[in-house]
Amino acid sequence: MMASAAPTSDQFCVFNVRSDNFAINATEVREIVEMTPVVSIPHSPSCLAGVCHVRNEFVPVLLLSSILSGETTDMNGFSYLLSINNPHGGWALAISQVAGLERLELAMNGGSFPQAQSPFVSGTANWRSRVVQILDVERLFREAANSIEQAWSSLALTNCSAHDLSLIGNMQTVPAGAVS
Amino acid sequence: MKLKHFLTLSHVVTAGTGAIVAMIAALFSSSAVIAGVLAVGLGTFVGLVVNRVLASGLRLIQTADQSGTDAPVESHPIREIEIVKEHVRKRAARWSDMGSSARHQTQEIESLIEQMYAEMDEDASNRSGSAASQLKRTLRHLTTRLQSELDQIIKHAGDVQGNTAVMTAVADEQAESVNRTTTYVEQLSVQFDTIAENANAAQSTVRSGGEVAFQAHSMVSDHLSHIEATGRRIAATERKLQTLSERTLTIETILETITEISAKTDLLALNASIESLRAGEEGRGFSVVAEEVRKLAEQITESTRQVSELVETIHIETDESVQALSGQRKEMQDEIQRMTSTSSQIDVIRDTCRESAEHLQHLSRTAAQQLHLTQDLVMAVERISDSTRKSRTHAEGAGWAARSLNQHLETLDRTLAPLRSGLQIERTLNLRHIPAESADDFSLTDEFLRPVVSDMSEVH
Repeated sequence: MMASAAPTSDQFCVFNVRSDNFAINATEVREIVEMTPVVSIPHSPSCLAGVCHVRNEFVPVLLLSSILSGETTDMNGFSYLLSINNPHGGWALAISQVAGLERLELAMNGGSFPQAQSPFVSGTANWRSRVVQILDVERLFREAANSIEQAWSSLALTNCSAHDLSLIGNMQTVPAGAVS
Repeated sequence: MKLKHFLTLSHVVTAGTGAIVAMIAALFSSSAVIAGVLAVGLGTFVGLVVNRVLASGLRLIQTADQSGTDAPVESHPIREIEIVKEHVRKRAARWSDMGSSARHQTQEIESLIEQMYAEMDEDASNRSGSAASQLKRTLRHLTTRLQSELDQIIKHAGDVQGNTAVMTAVADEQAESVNRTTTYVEQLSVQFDTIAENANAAQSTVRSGGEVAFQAHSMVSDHLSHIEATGRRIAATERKLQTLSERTLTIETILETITEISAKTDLLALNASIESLRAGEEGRGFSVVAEEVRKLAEQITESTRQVSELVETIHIETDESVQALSGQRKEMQDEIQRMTSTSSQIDVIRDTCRESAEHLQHLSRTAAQQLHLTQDLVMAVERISDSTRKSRTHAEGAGWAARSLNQHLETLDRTLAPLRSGLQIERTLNLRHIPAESADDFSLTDEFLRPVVSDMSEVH
């Protein structure tokens, strides 16, 4: 299911993961829900925390810190799930707090800010004397999908069909009733 | 035995007197009546004198025997008074016995003298001259016996006088002891009086102390009641504060729920705002509403936070108040225990004061009884002192009587001297073979029998 490109807005959803502040364009956010139990998936990369059940859907949960810096972390300190609209299906980010919808002005696009050099950060902004990194959701999703596909491909799972691998690689949203 | 001998001699003298009267009547018929009268008078005098001397001597001997055996020197005044009283009683009994014996002897001598007079009257006219010689022998024998008895009587009279002096000295000592005893008893009486007064004063003091202890006990009991009531109020307040602290916990729980609801409301408003943005122009009004809801949620969150801080402050202060009241309640309980102990000790003091007052009252009564007994003892000692003075007076009278007896004995001795001289002349004439029936002997006999008879009559 391919969705059309979402309209952009000057409002961003500002949130923080532990001590880092991030923002996503408000039109790319589906909703923000409280953290629900996340079921981990064996042999998955560190950026994939697991799968949770939100509104009758199984939604993959990604860890932003693993994607940005490659470090391994656990689920402690994450209180909310930031669900993202995606043409390939819904997915979510584990975040600590939600600051709200704010109108931000991009201070730089990339630039010399160290973390802004990440390919997943489209720019930075100043919000309440704090630096907020504007995330590129599309790149972030692609990177996560590639990491998962590579990880699972290297496992050479014999009892896993190519259809299943393509299904996971495309991050299709699987209805809860479809899983036997 | 001596009295019997004397009575025998009295009869002999009577017979001799009759014989002498007969002899004188035979020789001098004209003066027979005069001679008879002289003989009778002499016999009566001798009998009476001997009777009196003998009675006095017996009394003096008894007194001397009693005085020589007793030594009433005692160290304890009361014991000395008892001994003196016993001596006085014994001596009174002995003097009474001696008086009755003397009266009996006097009656016997009177009867003998009457018999002698009768025999002299009867035999005066019948006796012959041969009886003169018998009368001489009788007179000689009588004179010898009279001399012997007179010596014994003089000796006993001296002893009686000496013992009387000893009795007087002992009576003086007894009077001094009685006076000293009286002084001691009077001092003892004063001391008993002082003891009774002190006991009464101590009793009143102890009673005052008991009343003060009773008042203190009442005050402590009232104070204890007030403290217990205050403790109960403090416990009730502590329970109320504990309930209030629990209520603050409930309020905190409710505030957490409100905070949670507020957070969810805020999140819902945020999602609504996101949804309105996605809706574009159609969702712009909805976005305004969502923003207002979000602001309300934020206000609720802020108010809840302030209320939570207030509740937390109230909870802390309530806990501190509960702890302070708990400490005061414990101190109150300790104070109640101390007050209870003090009340018990005051009870003990009050009981002790009551018992002490009873003991002092008993002591006061005992001292008063001792005082009365001491006063009775003083009166008894005064009576003993009077008896001792009377005994001393009687002893002095006995001494004077003994001196008078000595004088009488000397008079009797001088009176008997011519008789002894006459008998000596007769003995000389007998040695020279001169007849004893000479007129001089009869004149001498008659001359010295008359005063003896007159003395005996006087004594009688």
